[in-house]
Amino acid sequence: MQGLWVYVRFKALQLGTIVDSDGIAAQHTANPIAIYDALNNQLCQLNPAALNQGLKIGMGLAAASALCAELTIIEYDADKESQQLLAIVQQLYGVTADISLDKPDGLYLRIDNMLRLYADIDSYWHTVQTLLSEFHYDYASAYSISAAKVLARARYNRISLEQRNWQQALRRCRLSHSALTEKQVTALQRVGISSFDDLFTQPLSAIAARFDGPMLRYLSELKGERFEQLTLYRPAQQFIRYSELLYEITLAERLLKPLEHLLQMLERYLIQRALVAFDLTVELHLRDKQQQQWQLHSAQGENRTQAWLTIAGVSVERLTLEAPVQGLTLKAQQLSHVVAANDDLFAGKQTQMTTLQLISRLQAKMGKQGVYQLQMAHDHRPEQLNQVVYPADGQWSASQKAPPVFSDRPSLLLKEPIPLTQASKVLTPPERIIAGWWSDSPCERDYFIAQNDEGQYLWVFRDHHNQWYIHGYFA
Amino acid sequence: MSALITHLKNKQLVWQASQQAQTAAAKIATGVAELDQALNGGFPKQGVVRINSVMGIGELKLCMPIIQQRQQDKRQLFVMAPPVQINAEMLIAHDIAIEQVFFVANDDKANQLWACEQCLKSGLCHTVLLWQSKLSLTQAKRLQVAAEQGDCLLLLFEYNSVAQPLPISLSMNLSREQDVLHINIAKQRGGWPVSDLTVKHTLNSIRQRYQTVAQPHTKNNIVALHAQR
Repeated sequence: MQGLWVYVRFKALQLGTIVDSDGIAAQHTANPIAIYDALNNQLCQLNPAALNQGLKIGMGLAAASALCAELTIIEYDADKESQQLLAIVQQLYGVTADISLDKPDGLYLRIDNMLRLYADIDSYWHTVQTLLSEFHYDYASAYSISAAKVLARARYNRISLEQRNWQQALRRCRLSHSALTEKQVTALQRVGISSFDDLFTQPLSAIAARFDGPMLRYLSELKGERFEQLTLYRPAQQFIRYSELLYEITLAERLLKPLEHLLQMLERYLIQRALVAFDLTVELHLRDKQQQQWQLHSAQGENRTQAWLTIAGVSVERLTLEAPVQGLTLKAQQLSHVVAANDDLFAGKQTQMTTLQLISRLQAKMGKQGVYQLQMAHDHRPEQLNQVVYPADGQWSASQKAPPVFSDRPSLLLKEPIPLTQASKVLTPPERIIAGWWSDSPCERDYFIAQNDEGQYLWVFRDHHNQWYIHGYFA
Repeated sequence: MSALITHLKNKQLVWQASQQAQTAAAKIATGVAELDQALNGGFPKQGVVRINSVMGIGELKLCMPIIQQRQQDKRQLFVMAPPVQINAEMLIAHDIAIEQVFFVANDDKANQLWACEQCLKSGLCHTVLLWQSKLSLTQAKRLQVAAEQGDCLLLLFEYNSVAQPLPISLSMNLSREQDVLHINIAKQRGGWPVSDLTVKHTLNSIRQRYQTVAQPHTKNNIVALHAQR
């Protein structure tokens, strides 16, 4: 694709996902942390605390542990880097349109078409840099996608609209920064080509005689004569973020600190898009590759960290950990748009909460079935009359305003009638209910109001076997 | 001297006339004339009201006019774990909007108290109904403070327990003898205890029966179920 592209290469992405037990990110904590690449037996990412201890990137494991005894070592994982990269792209998508991922740690951004939106290249780059302020990265721009990548790997770290600048800089780069394989580089060196300068001064025909098609294509892409195709990033409507823990957590309450870190990222994500989440799933990565799910629910839909923390703080009391937790993934998949609440400013007292927030808090502690409402069914059978509705289901239908035809109804209704055992006096004429003959639970009863010696008003009935039961109380 | 008065005030054994004027203003009439008079106007608008009785003698019915008046400020009614399921039909009969009534189901006493306090403090509820017995002094104090903070009325129903004195707004003992309710006002803020108040208060259909009791009894003319068989 033609145009001015910038390549951004991140340096310590995996390190950025790590949060220690106090909820402090690896970049700011005082504990030395290193990411270790087992394939090459060298440290590949170090946090500032580790650098202060004298550790260097590229050191072996033995040398590192000799220098620093309390070093925390975490194995390099390209997947985690890619996830983190995706998270960065989600944020960048708000300020720049064409983004392509170069997993595990690189990004292509197209600049030239964004210049219509931004006054000049400096203000564009400043906006991007503000978003990337917490990361360490190298970057370079070029009118060729491959050249931008080579320059970024050579730590060119400059952005400009000029054609000549990047071409001159490219000539000064070493061949090892290119995407050529080691074999191709040695083959080039054998014919006396040891730098980009040598490579570009050779006539194309001379190289074509010695090297294969893909290599020639790569060279013309570097020069900006041919353009390669990139798949551009399309955002997904969901939020998934992982955070590794430095220590195993066995007490559920201690999960709140690292969770807060993830919730803050969620808040940024949601507020940028004017979205709210109703359900959050926290996947707890346990020791021995097990997983445990922890659900958080808000009836109102929240995007603020503080609101979610309050829900989590209550809900955590019911959470029992099956094994020590080593990592957290926060997932928010069903997102919906923020609906402005139409509260009356003058009615009643100003409160900080809404009813749905209060219900969410109660449900967090007692479970979703812990809070319910009642609805009247169109039935005369007392057992069928009251129907339980859970606020979370949102199946509340229009309220029935029709007042009941009967003068006295019991205020407390037993789920199952109990046999009447005490002596009691019937005070009213009967009320006969014959209904439900079409169903499995027919009802043929004569209801009376009775009073016993303690003064209790009972709602009693006599069934067709002449047995007496209590079905409710007039409290 | 003033230290002694402060001490007594903290224990709520004395109160100031200036305070009483305010409390007297914030009352809701129960609709029962004798009781309203004894309570200097009715139930307090906020705070904890304890009713100690046997279950099912009309203790909730006595409070229904108050709940009905309180729901006018468009807040919610929360019902904490009633011992027996509340009948929605009864609520509708008393003109209570059931879409604003929420029930909390939990068997654990501590959880009920927690939920109750959350509701009271939130300021979102006009009334909360709670069934608990043997509330401790500190628990009652917490609920009272929370209720005042959230401008909420907590109706606390105690069944079959010896009522110990609690630092709350109002405490009553109820007992029933046929259609007569015996009310003992054990404690009320800004007022004197009243003992042995008798009030005629009963169910509508029974009241009609007592009114017509002078008539000779009609003979048993109820057709038995399945009489034709």
